[in-house]
Amino acid sequence: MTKVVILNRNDEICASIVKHTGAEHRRLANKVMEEALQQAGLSFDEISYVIATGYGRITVPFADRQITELTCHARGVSHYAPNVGLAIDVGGQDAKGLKMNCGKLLDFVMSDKCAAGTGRFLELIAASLNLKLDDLGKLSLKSTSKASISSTCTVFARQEVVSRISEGVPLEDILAGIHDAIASRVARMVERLKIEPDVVFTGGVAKNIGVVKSLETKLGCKVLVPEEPLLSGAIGAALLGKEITLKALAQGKPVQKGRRSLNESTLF
Amino acid sequence: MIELLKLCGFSEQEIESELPRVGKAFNKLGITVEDIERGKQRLTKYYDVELKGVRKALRLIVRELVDALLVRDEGMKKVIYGFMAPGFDLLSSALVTKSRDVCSIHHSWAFQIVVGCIFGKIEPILEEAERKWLKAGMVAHCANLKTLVGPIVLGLYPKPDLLVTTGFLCETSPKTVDLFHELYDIPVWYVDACQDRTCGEYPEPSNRVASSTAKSLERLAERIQEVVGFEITNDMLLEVQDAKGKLNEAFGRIRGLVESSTPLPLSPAHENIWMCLNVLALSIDGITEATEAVDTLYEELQERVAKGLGVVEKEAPRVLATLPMGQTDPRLEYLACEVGIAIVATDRNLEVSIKETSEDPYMKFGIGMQLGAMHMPPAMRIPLLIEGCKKLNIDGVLDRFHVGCRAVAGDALLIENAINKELGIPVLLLEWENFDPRVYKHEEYKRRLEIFKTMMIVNRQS
Repeated sequence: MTKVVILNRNDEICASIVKHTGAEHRRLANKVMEEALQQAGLSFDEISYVIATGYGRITVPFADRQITELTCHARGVSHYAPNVGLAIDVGGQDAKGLKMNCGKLLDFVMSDKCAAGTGRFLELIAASLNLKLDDLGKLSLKSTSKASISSTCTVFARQEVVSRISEGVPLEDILAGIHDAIASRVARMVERLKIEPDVVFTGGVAKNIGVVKSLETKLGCKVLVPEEPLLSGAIGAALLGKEITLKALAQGKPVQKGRRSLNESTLF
Repeated sequence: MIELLKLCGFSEQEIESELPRVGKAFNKLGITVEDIERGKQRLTKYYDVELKGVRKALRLIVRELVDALLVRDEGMKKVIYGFMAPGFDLLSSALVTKSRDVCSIHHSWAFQIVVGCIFGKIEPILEEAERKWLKAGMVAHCANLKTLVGPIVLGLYPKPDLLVTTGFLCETSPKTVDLFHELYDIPVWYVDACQDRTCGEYPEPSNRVASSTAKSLERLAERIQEVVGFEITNDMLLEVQDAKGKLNEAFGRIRGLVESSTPLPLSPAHENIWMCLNVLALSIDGITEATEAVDTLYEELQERVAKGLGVVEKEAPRVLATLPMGQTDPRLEYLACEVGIAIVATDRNLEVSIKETSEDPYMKFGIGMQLGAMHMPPAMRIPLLIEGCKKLNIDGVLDRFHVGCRAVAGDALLIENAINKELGIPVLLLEWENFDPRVYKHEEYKRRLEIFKTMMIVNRQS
């Protein structure tokens, strides 16, 4: 997913966009930026600073600076919960654990070798069960006896789901089992960071209440989810952009900006 | 081929005389025209081949490999092979200095650099070993062993008259050598001495360990004498140790320059070339040539430093890495430079400094063997790392985690915890294997290194 956040001087969100990322990052970046500007009622020249983050950050031609996604996530999460020690971000591509102190990233773990335990896994399961992604969480809460999904591989877990269906296991129990499998994987991954309450959960998967509940059970503590968990990295990027601008102004230095143009340029 | 040899420091005259031999050796390895082209590209991309010192060093490595591959064709009478066998290089150098009828190959160092780092073609060798008994997968046998098994079972390296190993650094090496004896009827020998010291002896070397190591190495010398039919005298060994001492001093000058200069004047990918030069079975003349190569490079690097030139930007975070550099693949070290991280040293170079030594060459080795961080248990390796970080003004530790190595895999998490606790600098725990290029995942490593760099910069500023 590609996200844009425009913040005003009071750190309030003026505009936010979330769009599916296609093959042409550059074209999409321009498009979502234009949309966000329209939503905020601003012109591009009125934007003080633009930070690009995430996988596609180097293909945002109009960004003033690129910053790694974990730094932005850490900043975004600490804006939401300033004293948080651990943040978990599970998106479509990967799962990450961030150990932080007052927004400063101290350590991290990542699962970016395998689709198991990511949003992509849930997307595939939803498609297999002919369900909407947004419905999985609520449906799983109706479970009375969660099914056991033992496989840690997306492909084999999908086969396991098909087997459970043919065995007549209720759908909600299967979903509860899937959420439990994801939560187990994520909890094991972040174990090395030494879990301390509170834990903030972000990324698309944090919208799934079933995974949130399972994660709370596995971690043994309350899991906080921001109102819009997909935007924490983008919010963090915007906050860092604001800090860079203010620091330069305070020092009486010009704000270093990149080549500012929203003209469409294609990669392919 | 000629251009490739020039990049590896061969003179035109030498190319003329050596070309048929090199061609024959490369044919044995299955090196194609495409491989040569790739080799040239990799040499110019990953190594500073414009530096004469680097070319001179590469020449010695290529030459050793060619000699080893052609040993039976050229009628060498005796072939001795040592693997994971510190101390064997000492005896080997004495052997090849004394006799032209003996070929002594130490480890697969030259093979790993030429076939792996230069040609990028080590995978079929590793796969061959996996088809034998070093299965791939969850068991995760170390690919270092595979670079011993692959070349011998494929018939690239000759079946040796004696295969030597130790359990000093690798417990699975003796098991592999056992299988060579069982399956291929190769005579084998184990240098065996307990490296464990009594608690409280660290960091001082233990006389008990030094004596047992010396005794075991002496027994190896006696066994080798039976094979080659001539005596290895203490004088011969002392002469080798003296030459190697000069080579080590030259390495020390390079290390000192690299560690103290900003920007970093040379990519860390070169580190494995120095390690290889240090342990190749070179004759005294060969060791002198190696020393000249290192001295030449030192002068060239001094010029670079004086001009303020480097391979990363001046303010790049300074990193200490655990484990030696990639021995069959320079891409991780290259990527670190590309991301803007200066790996200034590895813990292979950290050692306890002591004045104590011996006039006996075997005892001298037995003492020296106990000083390096890689030969230490975590209780000593970790304090050495912490001390190294302080001394070198390190911003972060690249804690490489070799899953398939029982000797060091357990240390990685202990290192991370200790560095965090004692120094509070970022530590990047990276799953890796310094002998297997198949573990290299560009995107995954790049993301982690970029985040690591940001963490170090933020930490430095705060």
